[in-house]
Amino acid sequence: MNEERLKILEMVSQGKISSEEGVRLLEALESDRDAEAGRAAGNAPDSYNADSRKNRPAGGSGGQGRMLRIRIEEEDGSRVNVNVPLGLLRSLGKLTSLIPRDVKDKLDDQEIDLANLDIEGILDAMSEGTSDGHLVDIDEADGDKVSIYIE
Amino acid sequence: MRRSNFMIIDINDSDSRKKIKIPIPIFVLGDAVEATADLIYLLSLLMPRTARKLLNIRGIEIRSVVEAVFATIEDVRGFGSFVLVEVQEAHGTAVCIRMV
Repeated sequence: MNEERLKILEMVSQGKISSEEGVRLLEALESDRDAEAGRAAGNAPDSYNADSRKNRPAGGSGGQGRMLRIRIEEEDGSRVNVNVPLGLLRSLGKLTSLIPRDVKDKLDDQEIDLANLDIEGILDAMSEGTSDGHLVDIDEADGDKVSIYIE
Repeated sequence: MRRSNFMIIDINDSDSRKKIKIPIPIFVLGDAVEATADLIYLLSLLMPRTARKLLNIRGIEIRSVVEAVFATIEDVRGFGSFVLVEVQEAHGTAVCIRMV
């Protein structure tokens, strides 16, 4: 990693790339490193607090793409971790066949098309607006914490 | 990526020091649902009227439900190994549901 940084700095000093381009490359390197660290640890982004990192589930997350993660920590030490692959949310759209026809007709009347609802796209759009992929962060006074993020 | 074959439910009760591990073979579940979908297809080919009566409960078409459940099982398996849910009580039971 340091070699790559040095190379970028050399290219800037030699005038091969502009300083702005150099900064962009360094930032890209940094984000790659963060992503690798996250994958190695198996969970939360860096902004997630140290206590939560300690409590990360042991399950592997690598390989199956992005996950919607829900973390709940109570003041007494109880915790809940839920990990849902984003791709799975898309396939849950297929389960609209479980909706009875009369309900479907009512939804059609309201021009609501659940079958083509892009849940993954909505979550993606929401997470793009945040720097760390966090959608919800609740930190209550009594110590309870809720965090929902995409990673 | 290697597909997951089992859903494993781990229950760990620290009070009674009991550890329960329930492996659910989702590949068998997937096969069973696929076989059901095939049977339904055959039934609707051979006896379309009966199938229409039997396989429509309160406006829900059983055939499409079975197909959707099968597709969902296949999708879940496609994501490989991951921890779906982990619940840990402060000083008690821990439950973990994972795909392996």
